[in-house]
Amino acid sequence: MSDLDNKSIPAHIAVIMDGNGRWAKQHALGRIAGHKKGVEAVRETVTACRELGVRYLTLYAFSSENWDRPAREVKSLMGLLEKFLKMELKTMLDRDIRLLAIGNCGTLPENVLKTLNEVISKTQGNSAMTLILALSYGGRDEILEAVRKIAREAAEGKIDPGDLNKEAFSDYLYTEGIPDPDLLIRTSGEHRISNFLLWQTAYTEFYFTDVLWPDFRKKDLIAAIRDYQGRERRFGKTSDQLLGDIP
Amino acid sequence: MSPHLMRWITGLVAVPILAAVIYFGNEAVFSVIVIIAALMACHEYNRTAFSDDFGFERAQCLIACLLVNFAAFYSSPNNLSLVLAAVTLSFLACFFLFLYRCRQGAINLEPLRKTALSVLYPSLLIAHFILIRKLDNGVFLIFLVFLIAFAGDTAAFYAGRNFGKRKLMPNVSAGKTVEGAIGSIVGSVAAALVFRHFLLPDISVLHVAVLSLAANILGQAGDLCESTLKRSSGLKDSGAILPGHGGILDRIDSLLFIGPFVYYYIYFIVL
Repeated sequence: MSDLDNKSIPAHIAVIMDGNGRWAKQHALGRIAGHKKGVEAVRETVTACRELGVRYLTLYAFSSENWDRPAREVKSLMGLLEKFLKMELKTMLDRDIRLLAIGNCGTLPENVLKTLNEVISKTQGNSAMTLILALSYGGRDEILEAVRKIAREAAEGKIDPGDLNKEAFSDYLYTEGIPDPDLLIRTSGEHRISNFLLWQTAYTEFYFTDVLWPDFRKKDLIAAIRDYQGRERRFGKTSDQLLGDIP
Repeated sequence: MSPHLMRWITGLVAVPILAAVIYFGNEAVFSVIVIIAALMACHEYNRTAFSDDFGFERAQCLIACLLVNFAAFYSSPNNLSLVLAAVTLSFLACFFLFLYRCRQGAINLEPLRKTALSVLYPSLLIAHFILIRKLDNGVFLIFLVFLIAFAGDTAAFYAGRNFGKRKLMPNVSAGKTVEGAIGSIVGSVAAALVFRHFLLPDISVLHVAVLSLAANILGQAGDLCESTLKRSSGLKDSGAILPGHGGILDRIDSLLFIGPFVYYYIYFIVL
């Protein structure tokens, strides 16, 4: 069904799922209905990524700033998250999907955290794909937290600041052990990073679409991947260097 | 107590009471019941269709619902001009509110679509129950409609549970199977034929068979359509099957399609 090059499917796709509120407004509905509809798009995206052979999928489900939204909306988002985890556990087990969470998860309500940890531990042996939910996540917080840890360890004499390099620093982040995203998709026509994976997206290809998240379907994902496959990833080098013509 | 058992018990208590009220009550009593049900259904439609910011639209849907059902009450099956007028005026009124909203800001067709739909679904569809009651043998025809829906649902449940293999429409309703749908048809036709034998002997067996078969299929479509309507506004989650739960629209979704069909079949073909 897709004319994608199966050899260069991005190994890690990250998504900023924007536009639930706008979708709801366009449909004369409340914001919460928009989030519920957004869950459908999550389900379809997870399934499609698994089918296409994407190894890592990171979804920006709830940012550390989202706590400032109206209490009712936060509460229903938490409820949706818990319901999603409970309902999708079977699918994740059937399809060999491992769940991970990044972010300041300790701030989640107790019951949600409990369900989250259950699903994480039940799926930890799965290996076909890793689904990573960014929950109460903030990119600056993540970097700060890493710096604090490093400073503490340096003060205790456990590490020598001189030895710290990019790879070693990455291990202090929530995303320890997860490769950097190859492709970042943001829906709903916004062109911002919104404090998402600041360190990890240094060489990530960005793809923006006007489609609102609840309307995002497999065909939109394929369009994003096709666009990605048409790009040349140079990682700061010249095209010729990539071809190996010039040493 | 299991939800399944509870459904049976509420059914066994509620059905005789409702049946007695319909049987012994006159046309006005029955119409009041229909109008209350119509308003409840319309209110539920409103909640699934509009956010809290659309108070005018919600009120308009309820007023149109009242208007159409009152028109049905004051009409006779041989002259439905009043119903047609109520539907048409309610429909036109939708456009006035639409203009008012557009004057306020962004042009969005969605509220217009939703208010206009509500004039027909659920309001006009439910109003047909008031009209059926006005036909000759109206009380028994009402019972027949309920029976077609009830027998179909029950047969679908047991056929699905025992033989269900192939999913009917998994993206709309997770639990429904093709086997259940076939069982539903058999259940409706069988129950309708037994009912005819004892209570509506004037209608031919062939008519009742054809009518109950077609009505059942429409009823199942009505059920699926209601689920789809709710799903389209994000209100239902696939896999979330809660027996015994759900609002009035979940209960009457198949009746909404069966009632009007039975009405026109009887009026134009049988009578």
